Amino acid sequence: MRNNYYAYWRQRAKAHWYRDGDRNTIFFHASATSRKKVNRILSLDDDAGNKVTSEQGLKDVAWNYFVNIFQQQASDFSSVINVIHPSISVNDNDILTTPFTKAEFRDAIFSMHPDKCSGPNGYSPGFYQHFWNLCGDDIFKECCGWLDTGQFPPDLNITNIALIPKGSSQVSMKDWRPIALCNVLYKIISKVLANRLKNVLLQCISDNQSAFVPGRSILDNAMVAIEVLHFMKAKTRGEDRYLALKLDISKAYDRMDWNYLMAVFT
Amino acid sequence: MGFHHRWTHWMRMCVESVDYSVLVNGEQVGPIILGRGLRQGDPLSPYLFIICAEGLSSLIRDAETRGTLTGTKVCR
Repeated sequence: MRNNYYAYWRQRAKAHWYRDGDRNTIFFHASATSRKKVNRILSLDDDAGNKVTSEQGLKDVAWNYFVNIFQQQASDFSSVINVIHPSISVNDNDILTTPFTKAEFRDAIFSMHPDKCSGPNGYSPGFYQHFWNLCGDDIFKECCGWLDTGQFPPDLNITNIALIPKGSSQVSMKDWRPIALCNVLYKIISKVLANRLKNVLLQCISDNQSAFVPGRSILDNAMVAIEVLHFMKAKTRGEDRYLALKLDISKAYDRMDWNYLMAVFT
Repeated sequence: MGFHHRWTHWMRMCVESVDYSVLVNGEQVGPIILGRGLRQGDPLSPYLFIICAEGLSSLIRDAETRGTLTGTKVCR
């Protein structure tokens, strides 16, 4: 009973409990309670700018917003695809498609934080870690089966979107950051694949792209940007004019075109 | 980029089998049928994103070889 009580507050507080070596104190209750207050949506402006406050109205605004943003739009990307050259070797492909091992799945599960939020089916990473000895073989067998046949069961990839406040005040849907809560079982597979993909990134990603590639640092590009600006500022002679662009793509993840992605891979 | 068709299919499975529900004050609203987009929270997303961004890098490299863009030296 006492243990259940601790576990409940540990998961609710979402502050990293054991690592921070604290007990079930007022701090964790406070962080759970204040999270609830901040995350509650009281009103939203719809597309026309009308303020909506009813529960049903809020749901409609959110639903419309996401249906709209995730709708595929016709686009012609052939001119981009034409300049992307093959960079994955036969050897890379062999590594990517080699039969999966149980160790890969084990590593994927144990690299997740045990109390990270669970997906729609409610099982947290901690659950899979705790019962790995019992269910590891079954998980491994099932996942390999899905990958072999090329088909996931229909409910595996059901995802909840939780809305986290962005910036200091929340007026419309744009001020809420959508975080996808995938089922942990899906995430295990996704992580296994991501771990393999990581190994070939050096071959297929240009040197000037420094984020997310193992062995490169995003700070490298910040340094380059500083140097470029310094160069432009310090340049006093010569005919050449220079222009720097800083682009921020809004909703870059949400707008990613699937057909384009597949065309890049192929 | 020349990925094996098996691998490309796995990526398609992960990205396109998604079914969304949005949580509004703790209540599920959905399903929302998707036609595009990566999920913030899927371990694959960052890698898929930079692979897509490689399109921009390729365009720049292409413009460079054609001479429409030229590089400059900094930090001499």
